[in-house]
Amino acid sequence: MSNFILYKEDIDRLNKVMAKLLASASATFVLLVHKDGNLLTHQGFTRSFDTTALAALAAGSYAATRAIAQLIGENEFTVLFHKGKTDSIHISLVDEDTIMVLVFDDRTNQGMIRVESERASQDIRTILDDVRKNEFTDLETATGSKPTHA
Amino acid sequence: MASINYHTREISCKIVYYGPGLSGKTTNLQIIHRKVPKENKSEMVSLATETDRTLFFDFLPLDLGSIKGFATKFQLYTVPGQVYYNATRKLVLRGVDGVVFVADSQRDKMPENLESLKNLEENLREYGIELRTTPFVLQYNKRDLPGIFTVEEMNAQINFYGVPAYEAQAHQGVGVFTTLKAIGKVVIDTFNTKYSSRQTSRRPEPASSTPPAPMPTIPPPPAPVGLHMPPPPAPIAAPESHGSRSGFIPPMPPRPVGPPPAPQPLRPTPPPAVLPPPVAPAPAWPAAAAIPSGSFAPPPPAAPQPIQPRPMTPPQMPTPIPPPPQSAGVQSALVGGYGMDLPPAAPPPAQSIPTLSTTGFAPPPPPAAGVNPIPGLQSSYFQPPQPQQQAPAAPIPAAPRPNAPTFRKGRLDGTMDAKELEEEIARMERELHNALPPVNPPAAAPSVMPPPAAAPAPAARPSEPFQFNPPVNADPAFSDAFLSPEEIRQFQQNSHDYPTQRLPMNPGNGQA
Repeated sequence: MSNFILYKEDIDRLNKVMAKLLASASATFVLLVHKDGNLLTHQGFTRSFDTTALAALAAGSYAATRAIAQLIGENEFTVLFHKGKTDSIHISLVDEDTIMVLVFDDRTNQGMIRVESERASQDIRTILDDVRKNEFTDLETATGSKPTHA
Repeated sequence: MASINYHTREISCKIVYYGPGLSGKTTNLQIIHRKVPKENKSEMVSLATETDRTLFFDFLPLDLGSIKGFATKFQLYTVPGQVYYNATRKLVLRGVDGVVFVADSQRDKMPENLESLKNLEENLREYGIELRTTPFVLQYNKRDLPGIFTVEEMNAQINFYGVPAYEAQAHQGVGVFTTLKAIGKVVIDTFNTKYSSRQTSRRPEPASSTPPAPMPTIPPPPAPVGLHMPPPPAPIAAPESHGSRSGFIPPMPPRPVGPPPAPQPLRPTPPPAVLPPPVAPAPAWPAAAAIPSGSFAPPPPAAPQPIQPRPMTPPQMPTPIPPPPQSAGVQSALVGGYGMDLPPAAPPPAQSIPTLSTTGFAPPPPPAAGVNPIPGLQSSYFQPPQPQQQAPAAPIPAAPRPNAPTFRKGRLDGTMDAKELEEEIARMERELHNALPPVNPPAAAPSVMPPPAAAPAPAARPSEPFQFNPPVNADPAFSDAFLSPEEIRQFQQNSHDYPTQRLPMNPGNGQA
């Protein structure tokens, strides 16, 4: 069991990809959530939302759906879609530990969201592969940036 | 699985309250949610049935102080207790960092306790986690009911691993925070152990196999009332690196595969020489109930200590940790958002950009040399409670394009520079969501801060284990005492007012 260690460079890389996704898909906001329920980072108009609870609930929803998938012989569903009257949620699997939650409204469409989120997922997957190689540094001396030691 | 974010300086941990149905797991979270100051918590989310039974989980994010300037964000979950909800129970356990087992003390509930404990161990094992190596405390709830087991009997029957156990009357608020502090301490100690060893192994200095020396100046605090520890199974020296400095429980040493080293008891216990040899293997579950109580060596027949309102432990405030040199924006965010361990800082410049979550939309403003330009990613509940932030004295400058109606959620306007864009986003967001209520400055925060004058300058601070300094030690709101009769009446009458997502379904639990 390894912990998830994020540095400023990782967050910046993730945010850049997610901001690009928001712009290209015209979504409202996007969350990157660990399957445990931890919010890793987010982009967009999230200030008035409880993103922590949203992340936990989305992870719970995904976990429940995964259990449903296994009941019918699938390993897991890679995409969840909840449609609302104006705002909808698109939850997609990024890698084995991470899901991405995209919230969008009626100014875009689901097809665009799916295409763009899949494109962004590939970039995020690459970044998360690098994140898993991160090592712990002393909290006391940590500056937020990735240490440059050999 | 703890998550460490060096950028936002947060450490996230997941605590799960486990136990049989109707043992009081949700009540624990409700009491915590009720009593914790606003700046330390967010809304509690409860996925419950129409009959107020937990269907999926309850969720309460909580800030419990800091470690070396890193905010510790605990996410408290409960599971549905009924037997037939095992599928959802298992889902909630994913990535757990610590477990609180809430046991029902009533005699006729012991089979359910044992079944739930067995189920916990099975479910953890499916994630490759062993209960004996996981931070784990027990809570013996409903101590006010008639027909309950004594603490010694409870210890003998379900405390297989010699973990800290606490009495509680959750619906009256007794024992709830003691348990919370205990699991928080154990989780942080485990974190401490894990990463202290890594740091030691990476240092070029000769690595000592012994843990680093404890802080010598702070004596261990008095034992909390209601703590009942099983005696240690073997005379094991107290682990020095985990001296109980922060105020609540005996330390949880790292549990190797060998005999579980019991925490140092806070009560006088019989000499360890009379104790039986340690119980090394996990108990065989089918025979768990039949394990002779003598093998667990329950404590001497001390009369059950009546639970009384406990005088608040005086705060053991360690030496304040100086914040690392950062820009004013970062500094203000730390003080406001995580600053339980930091002295009050000067207010931020009036023109500083508030903390934004939208920095990815535009190139950040040109940073000064060595300065982090992004104040940090903030959850909405985690806004830095700066008194000046909501003050109208620092208005957003007149928008250069006041009539830009097309700029709404998700639309980018390329004619703005970065600063204008940030301001526009902030303004639009306020309008869209009816001008968010201003964030009140924390009322209790200054009271838990040490007087700056009394703080000696930490000039040459040796490398030390992480200090866990939860505000729960200092804030009376976290004290573990009886609720007043009026509070109990309000709680019982209004407990259904918690933000609960009532699901219009009947899970078939036999209650109509």
